[in-house]
Formats: sequence, C-alpha cells, structure tokens
Amino acid sequence: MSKAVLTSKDFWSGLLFMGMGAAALVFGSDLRVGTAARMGPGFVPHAIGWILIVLGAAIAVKGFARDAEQVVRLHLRPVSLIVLSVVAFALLLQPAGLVPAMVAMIAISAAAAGPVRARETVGIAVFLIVLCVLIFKVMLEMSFPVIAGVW
Amino acid sequence: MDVLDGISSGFLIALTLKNVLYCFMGALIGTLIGVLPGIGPLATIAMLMPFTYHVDPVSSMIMLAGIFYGAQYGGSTTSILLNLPGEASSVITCLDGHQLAKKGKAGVALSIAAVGSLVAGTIGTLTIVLLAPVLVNFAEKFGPAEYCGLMTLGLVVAVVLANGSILKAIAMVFLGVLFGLAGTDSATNAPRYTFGIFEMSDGIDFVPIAMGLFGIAEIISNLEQRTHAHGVTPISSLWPSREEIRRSIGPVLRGTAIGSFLGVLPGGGPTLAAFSSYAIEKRISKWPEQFGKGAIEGVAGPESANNAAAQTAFVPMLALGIPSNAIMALMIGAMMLQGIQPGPDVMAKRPDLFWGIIASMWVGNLMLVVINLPLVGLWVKLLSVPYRFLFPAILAFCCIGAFSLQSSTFHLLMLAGFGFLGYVFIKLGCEPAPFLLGLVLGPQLEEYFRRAMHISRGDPAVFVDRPISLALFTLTAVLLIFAALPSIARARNETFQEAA
Repeated sequence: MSKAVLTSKDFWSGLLFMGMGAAALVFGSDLRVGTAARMGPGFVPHAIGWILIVLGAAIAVKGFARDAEQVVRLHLRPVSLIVLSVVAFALLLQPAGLVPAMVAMIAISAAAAGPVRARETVGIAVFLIVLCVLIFKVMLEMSFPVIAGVW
Repeated sequence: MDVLDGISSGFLIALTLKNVLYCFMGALIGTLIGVLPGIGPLATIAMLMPFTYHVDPVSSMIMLAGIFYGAQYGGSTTSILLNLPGEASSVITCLDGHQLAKKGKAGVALSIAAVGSLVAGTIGTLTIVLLAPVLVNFAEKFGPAEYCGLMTLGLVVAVVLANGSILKAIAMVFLGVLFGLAGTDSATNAPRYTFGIFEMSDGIDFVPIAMGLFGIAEIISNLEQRTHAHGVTPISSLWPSREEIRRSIGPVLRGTAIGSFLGVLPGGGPTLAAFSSYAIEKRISKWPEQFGKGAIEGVAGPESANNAAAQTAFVPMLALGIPSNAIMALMIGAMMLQGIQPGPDVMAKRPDLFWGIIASMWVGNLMLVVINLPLVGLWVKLLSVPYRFLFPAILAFCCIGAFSLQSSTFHLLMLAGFGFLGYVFIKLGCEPAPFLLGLVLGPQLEEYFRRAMHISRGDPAVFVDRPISLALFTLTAVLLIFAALPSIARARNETFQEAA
C-alpha cells in the first residue's frame, strides 16, 4: 500500500462508514429482522448496516486512485484540547459546580488556541463565569451547583 | 378567505410586545453572528435551542427564524466592507461589493443590499403565505408511500447539492438515519442501540449532536487556521444615485424570483440562490465586463436572492414537516423539543404558530433594515473582537445548553464525542448537513416505509403504483442519474470550486 492511500480522505472515510455499518450489524444482532410485510425492529438497521458496508467499500477503493485527495493540516493540539475541555466540564459540573467546571474548561481551551496569555484568560474566565451564573442560575434557575456545597 | 384570515391573525400574534421583542432579539443575534466570521446561523441555532425550551413555542420559533434571515443581512456587511464573507451565502457579494467599497461607494452597496433584501423578504413572505396552504391541501392526499417518496426526494437533493463526493454524501445520509433509529422502536417497543443508557431510551438527542457537529467541530477547525487582522473601508454616503437605483431594480426582482424558487426546493437555500442570481445577472448584463470590478447589479441580485431563499426555505418545513436544508432540520428539531410534531397538520392544529412565524418574518425584515443601516459602524467595530475571546463563550453556551436538556452528564459527553466526530468529518471531506437531515428524517422515514410495506403486504411495488409516489421516486432517480453523469459531475465540481 502506498503512502498516498494511507493519507487519502476517501480511504479513511470508506473505513469509517464500513466500521459504522459493521457496528450496526454487531450491536443490532439481537434485533429481530422480521419480513418485508411485518418488519421487526432490526429490518431497517440491518439493511442500513449492509448498505454502509458496501458504500464504504466503494468509497475506500476510490482512495487508491492516483489523484486521491489527501488529508491536510492535521493539528492534534486544538482537537484534543477542545474535546478534553468539554469532557472536563462534563465531569466537574455536577460534583464540583459551575465555577470549577468553567475554570477548567476555559483554561484547557485557552491552551488549544496557541500560547496562553494568562492575564487575558483570567479576564475572559471571570467575565464569562459571572455572565453564566447570572443568566443560567439567577435568571433561569437551572439545576446545577455553582460551587458544590456552597451555592 | 382563509389565507387572509390566517395572515391577519398571524400579524396580531407577531405584533404582541413579547413576540416583537423575541423577533428583535433573533434579528439582532442573527446580524451579530452574520457579521462575525467563524460562527454561523447553524451553530447559533443549535446553541440556543435548549434555552428556547423555557420560552413558549411561537416566540422561540420566531426568534430562531430571525437568527437565520438576520444572518443573511449581517453576512453581506462584512462582505462589502472587508471582502470577508460573514456567511457562505454572502461569498459572491464580496466580488462586486468590496470593489464598490474600494471606490468609496461602500454606503451605496450596503443600502442597496439592505433594501434589496427587504424587497426580497417581503415577496418571499408573500410566497410562503400563498404557497404553504396549497402544499398543505395537496399533502392531505398523501399516504405512507408518498411521504416516503417525498422524504427520499428531499434527502437525495440534499446529497446532490452537497459539496464534494456524492457517494460520501449518500453514505452520510444513511449514517444519519442509522443514528436517528437509536432509541425505543415505536412499533415494537424494542430498545435499539441504547446500550442500556437511560438517556437513550427516548431516542438519541438531536441537540448535542447538532451542537457537536456544527458548534464544537467548527471551533476546532477555526483554531487550526491562522486569523488575520482586517482593514476596514470607511463608509461614505448611504444614498445611491438615481442611476444606481435604476440599475438595481431588475436584479433585485430577478434575484427575488430565483431565490424564492430555489429556497422552496429541497436542498436549495440562500447560498445556491445567491450564486445563481450572480451568474444570471452577469450573463444578461449589457456591461458584463464591469462584473467583478464593482457592478451594483452584482450586489443587488445575490443579496436579494439569498434573503428570498432564506424566507421560502420555510415553506416545505412549515407545510410538510420536511426540511430543505440543515437549518430547517434544526428548526424541526426545535419544534419537536416543544412537543409539536411538524407536518401538514401544523397549519390546522397550531394556526398561531404557523401564521405567527410567517407574519413575524416580515416584521423581522423591516427591523433588520433599521438595525443594519444606521448601526453599520457598530457592527464593523465588533469585527475587531478576536476569535480567542469569542470561542470560550460559544463553548460555555454549548456545554450549559447540552446539560440543561435533561440535567445529565451523558449529554455533555455526547457533545464532546460528536464534536470530535464532526472534526473527523471535516478532515475527511464528509459534509455534516446530509447527516443531520438523515438524522431528523430517519425515524419518520422508517415508520412510513414500514407502514407502506405493511399495507402492500411486503410488495415494494406500492411505491410505484400510486401516481404521486411514482412521480416523486422517478424524479429522485432522474436526479441521481444526472448527478452521477461524468459531464454533469464535472460542472458541479466547478460550481463548488468557484464557491470556495
């Protein structure tokens, strides 16, 4: 396999679709298929699973073409840090409260944008936290703690 | 007359103080995000959807609609002044709009764009008033087979008009339908792909997916690109000369007609309308050589077309419950969040919603001219806000919004997961819009498909035996064949290349 295939958009999207199709079949294997007149819960999911596998294979094959489009500009820093910042928010919100969750989220995501400007980030964090507490806790009375055990 | 009663009651609803305020808020937010590059109406509507849950359905839909067409106005401002399209639908306006600005006619271009948009918005709204009830009556004859046909047609047009590979877009539709099927099967109550997660038993939640794919993934992709500082062209007089007005009338009316037509078609929408209008104006112009060098027609036509299309895109959504583009798919999601099942009976069951939204669009368009022209300096100042100040706010709103749906951590993890998936889609050249349409239409499509096949006792001929259904499926097949033909595929690619 040439290097161009391993960095081609079509090759990887094909694999993605095939994987999703296979997952639909595997995780839906206990769903009854039924007949065309009386379809069970598994009829359409199984059909789509197979369609995705076939389509995915066709797309992956196109990745072997000489002029296949390549995946460009893959920077791991923004994607990993932004996803991580949302996960951190998710895991902190209920046990620790909105303030710690937002501090973690803003700190991690600031690092995603490039070199961290400490003073600026603190300013953004203070402004956003005050704004969010006012809108979502004071006005909309949402059901999360602001700081767990305190408010 | 029904329609007259309907629209006048609609104005009574749209003109209550509360709804005027929500309409204004929508138009304001729309203009704001239209001006700001890096955040579009899709991400904004997805982000604000959970909060509309606290507002009554009519007001929240009025606001969300305002964001959509407001963004069309705002997008043109930055195209003209900075050669920087705020929205995809204003890309073409850069060509002549910015040239006009360089000649010191920025104010003229802005006011022609705004007035053209108002004319288009007015005619577009009228089109909805006349067309939507006709479609509703027509849809009363529809059985499961026809609905299947209609949805398939909508999905296929979305595929044909998606940027990039058709095969990938088809796969994205199927993937979307597959995700949409997760939850409890409506016919047999069997849980499907719920993995024992409580939050999944009611079906997969639409909001964190849309926020992840369009909000979070866009932040990641924006952060990968370097941002530049922009020089703003000073604004001169807003008043066009008589000659400029005369030259704009034709393009405005033609743009409105093109936009109104393309907006109704599934998969059409503002961007396509703007491009078509520009191409037509250039072809029929007596001085095509001026295009690209500051022809007022190149601003008047596309700006009217994109706004007309932004209005008429609501026709299939309101009348049939079928989204013609990803934003309408979000609007359908917002309606379902409010417990309203979109479809032909919305007009009969919720006339307040149906006519209220339509009337509010005209009110909103009027407001937008007022918001945009005198305040244009303020909007331009906003552009100096760097993206690194903006994206933490988007992140925070998405996170709190996703959580507020059911106060569950699961939805936040979903948000992170779909943000990542959305990034993978962008990198692999897979358009997320067909995925979203599949996701929204999936459960209904399966239900109608099953019902039709049940009635026919498993004979797929049911889809070609009935005339309307046959016509819809034939049209679908013809479209797919055409799109797959090499010569047309090439022309399609060139069109998208020009757009990029």
